[in-house]
Amino acid sequence: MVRQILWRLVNLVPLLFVISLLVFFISQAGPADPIKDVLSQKMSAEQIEQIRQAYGLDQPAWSQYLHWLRDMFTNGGGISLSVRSPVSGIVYPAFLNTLILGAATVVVTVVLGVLIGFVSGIRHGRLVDRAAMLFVQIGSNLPIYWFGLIIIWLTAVWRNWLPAGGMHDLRGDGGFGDLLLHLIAPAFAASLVSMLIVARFVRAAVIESAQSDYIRTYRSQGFGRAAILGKHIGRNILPPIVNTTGLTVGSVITGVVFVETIFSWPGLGSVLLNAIAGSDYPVIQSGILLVAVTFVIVNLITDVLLDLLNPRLRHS
Amino acid sequence: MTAVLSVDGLHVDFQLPGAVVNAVRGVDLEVHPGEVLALVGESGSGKSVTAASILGLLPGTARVTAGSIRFEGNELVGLPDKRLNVFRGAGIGMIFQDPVTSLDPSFTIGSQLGDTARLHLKVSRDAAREVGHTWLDRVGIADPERVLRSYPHELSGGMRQRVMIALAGLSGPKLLIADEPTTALDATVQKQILDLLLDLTGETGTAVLLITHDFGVVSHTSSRVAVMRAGAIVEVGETAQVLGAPEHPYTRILIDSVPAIGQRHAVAGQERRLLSATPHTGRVQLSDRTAAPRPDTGEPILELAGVAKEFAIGGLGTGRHKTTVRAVDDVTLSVRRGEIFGLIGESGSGKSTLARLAGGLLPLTAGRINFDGTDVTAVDKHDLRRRFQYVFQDATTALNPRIKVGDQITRPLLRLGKASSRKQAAQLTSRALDLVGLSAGYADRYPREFSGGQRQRISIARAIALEPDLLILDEPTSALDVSTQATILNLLLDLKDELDLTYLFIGHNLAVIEFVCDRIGVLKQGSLIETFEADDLFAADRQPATRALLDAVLPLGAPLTTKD
Amino acid sequence: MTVVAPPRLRRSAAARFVRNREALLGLIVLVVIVGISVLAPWLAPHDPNAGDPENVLNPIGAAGHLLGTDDQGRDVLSRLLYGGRGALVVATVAVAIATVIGTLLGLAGAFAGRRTSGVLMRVIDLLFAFPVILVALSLAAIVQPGPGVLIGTVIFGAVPYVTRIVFAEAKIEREKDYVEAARSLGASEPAILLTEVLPNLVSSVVIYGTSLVGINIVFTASLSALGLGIQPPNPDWGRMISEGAKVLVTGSPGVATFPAVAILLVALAFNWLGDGLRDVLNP
Repeated sequence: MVRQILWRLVNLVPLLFVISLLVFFISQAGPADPIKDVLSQKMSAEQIEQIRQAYGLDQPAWSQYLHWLRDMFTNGGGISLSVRSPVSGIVYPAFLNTLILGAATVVVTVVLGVLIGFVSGIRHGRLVDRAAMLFVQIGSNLPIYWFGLIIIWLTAVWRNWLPAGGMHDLRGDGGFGDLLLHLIAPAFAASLVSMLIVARFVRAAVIESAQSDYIRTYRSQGFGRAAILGKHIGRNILPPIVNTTGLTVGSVITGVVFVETIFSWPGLGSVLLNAIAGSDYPVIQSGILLVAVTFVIVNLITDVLLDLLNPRLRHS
Repeated sequence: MTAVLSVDGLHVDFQLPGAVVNAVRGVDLEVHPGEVLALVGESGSGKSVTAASILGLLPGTARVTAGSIRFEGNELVGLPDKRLNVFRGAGIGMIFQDPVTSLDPSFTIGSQLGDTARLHLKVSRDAAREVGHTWLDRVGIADPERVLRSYPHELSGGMRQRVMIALAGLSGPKLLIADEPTTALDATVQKQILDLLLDLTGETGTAVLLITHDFGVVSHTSSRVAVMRAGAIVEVGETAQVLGAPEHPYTRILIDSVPAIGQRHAVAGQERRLLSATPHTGRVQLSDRTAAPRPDTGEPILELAGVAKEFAIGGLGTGRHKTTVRAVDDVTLSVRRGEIFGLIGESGSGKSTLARLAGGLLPLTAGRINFDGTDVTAVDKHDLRRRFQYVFQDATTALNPRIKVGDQITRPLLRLGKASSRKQAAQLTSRALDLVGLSAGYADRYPREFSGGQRQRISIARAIALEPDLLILDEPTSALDVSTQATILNLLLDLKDELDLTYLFIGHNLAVIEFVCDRIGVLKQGSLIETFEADDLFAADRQPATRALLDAVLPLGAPLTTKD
Repeated sequence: MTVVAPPRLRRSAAARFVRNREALLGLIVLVVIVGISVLAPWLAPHDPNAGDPENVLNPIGAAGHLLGTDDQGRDVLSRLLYGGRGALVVATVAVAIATVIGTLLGLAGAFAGRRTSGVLMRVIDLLFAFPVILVALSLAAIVQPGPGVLIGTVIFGAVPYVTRIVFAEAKIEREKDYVEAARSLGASEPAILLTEVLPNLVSSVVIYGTSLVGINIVFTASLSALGLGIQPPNPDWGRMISEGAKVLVTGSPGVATFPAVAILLVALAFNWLGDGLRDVLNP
């Protein structure tokens, strides 16, 4: 068990190395010289050359990589090319906001996904199940951008239930309650794809478990439906739930980036889109690296949780 | 005496997409207090469906459409789950076929026994654990404390079935339904489990409804037997009466299909066949080229010397330590031209691995294999493959489901140079199909359009079309019903003479091996224990492992064991 | 003892396809939409990119503009007819490429040695859950936003998916006796892979590939809406949604909603076709 977890930790090292290399590669493979692109109009050739040296762009690739890596650890990735201020000041606050929305999205994904999947699984073939599956089919084929717009229209324009966008009320600090209120709509919209994936998997796991031989054994012994559903099916679908939730982290992140612009959420998605428009490579690289590392860590947590849930591993 | 359970005119339908299947059509059955009633039939006869409908455990697509099921006078048909739960466990217990999947993988044995004890005996958590302990003791488990703490995957199949018996028994049911309780187990374990079941139910006077396909099990356990076919019961009676003098021709076929141990001696001087079929032994030639005289027999055609095979399991990334398992350990044997050499062993004895090693399908860890005098690793692979063929256990998977049957036979003929043109290959194919009793017109069909027995015939045709010298038959009849098994065994015995074949016949059923083979080798945990002439099976100097297999055979005609 | 073969009971795959209402409906919808997209230059009443400052935000049913106009006065119907072209081509091409790569990787994973297979599948598992939006953003930073970004992103997202499916099925097939039988009948390892195992995987790959096209039409639309995909002024359904976003709440919901419905319909049609094919190809 401990061995397995240590092994997973060891595995992270080459993985993080490869990811950092790939992210570093973004600026190397860019369409043009990043410095020239942004500054050429205003400066002479010598000035540009000076800046190139200051940024270490005249050195061999591996040396640049080490420099870049050090920058990542010290100030979050150097100086933004467009705003001329440290990247950390731009990226970190935005990342925190994205993390908040991401966490809320995961909560919605798990709660609604498991609820829909479980209910339709135990009512397999009944009306509730068919309705849920129709919802899943249509939902997973809806363009998320339009879905977000419709949510805004429904909750903020047609009925004045929720704020239309942003993270806080403009009139001042609304506190935690205000934040929650602003979170509901974007988290629901961002969770659309991942929630339905979880629902589908949970439904399949419930149906499979309900038809399994061991559940038949419990039924043959006269256990009530509640005990079987709650304890035994519940316990046996736990690993698939953790597993799929882990697998949907990618969809969650993607969903969050999609909805940030719709809901004017001051997150990393908007920052990155602006940085791409302005070829601001330090910001792009820093932002992408942060999200990738977050993903890897979440992935590790899911793997360890799965190990803990597996009786075959727990006792070895 | 009133019946514990009486089933009247039971009909069960399966609603499948586009079709309704009448799985059970009018079954009448009575189980009396304390008796063991065997319900016997082949696959698809509806015996398991009948059993499942008693406790309302039918799958979602099935429905009882007519009839009644009364347990101690209470009608069970149509009761909702909640009211059925009064009878489940407490009144009627059930044991299922597959002990591997029938226990919850996520809870310990102690937890599962404890839950059941608390539900039925209304005892505290601690007392429930005590009950679990006592019952594990009763079902013959030596270290109950360890087993209580174990998860199902940590126990062997036999142990798990003992746990299942404890689970079903601890609520003290009046009737125990056992659905093929030993089919997934090895022969030596089967007898222990059956005897345990009989002892426990005998002590408490519990009636047993035992579902099985095996007349040996029927004879060993039951006082009465009901024979089921295509959803209906064709014959009911005292076990000795039905086995000794069956009234229905179908019962007769079922009984005659099973070779009894020692049957090879029964009709001296005559070729052995089942179901009194006429033997075909005349020389048959598939292709024109092989007009050679019958080759000398008795020379070794396949020689294994010190053969060993190790598999690696676990290792990096699996969370387990890397270990090697020795599947086959230092096996030396030789198969003579023209004989049928039988290799018998229980599951995990390494017999299938040995079969694959012999033909070079798996690399050896150690040892040497000679085929007709040359090392198989050195010999021309084309020649080896043509002369050395296989028939595998399950024709459902041994035939490629996406390729037409004819193509599956002709492709190797062309590949291995047996036929020089498509036309010649097609001719050989139709002759081979003809020889196994199928029409050449079947060639353009897919495997799923055939029954299990027909598929195995196609597998055999594919192998013999190459006119090989040696055929390895890896459990060729284990996946088949007994009546189909009998015809396939007859076919194999015919083909051996017609085509001058040598067989290496691998199996787990001693009665079949003894009936078919000339010499027998016994494998246990990868080692060859001994080899002997089939006629010497009963000799006094047999090894204990062989004796154990012999003792595990449940003879058909033997008088009822005087248990109670 | 020869038996004459009795007549066959099976219906042909084509007959089963026609009887499968879901598959047929999906196919018909797709044929219609692809037809419209191909014939858009002849069908469209207006130039999709020609703005008309006089006729901005015409309502649905306005004279000459059946579905109204957008905030630049461009004809929504014409843009709708043209708007699927890029998305359909991009999704189909990218999924086709991903399917080929994924099939090869999956087969390699299933038939390679333990170690190679273990490492390969570990990487694929990780990529399976990887946030593809990061790939889209990175690609957009390296090459300029455009169809290339969409194709690259879809391939990156779909390859692990196809690989896992092919790997899982190939591993099951590998253990079946027909592989062993083919080996014993003298077939070489490549021949076993290509002529024995692959035919058993093709139907699954086709089924999942079909559904993947649908999913990715929706996905690429969202990328285009963010500005990472097909660029203005080319009409594109995804782009139309984000352009119509501004006016959705101000009384012109059609500008964004018509393309959204078009995307939903195409994606559903691919889904129906995929599900229908499952019943037809895997009886």
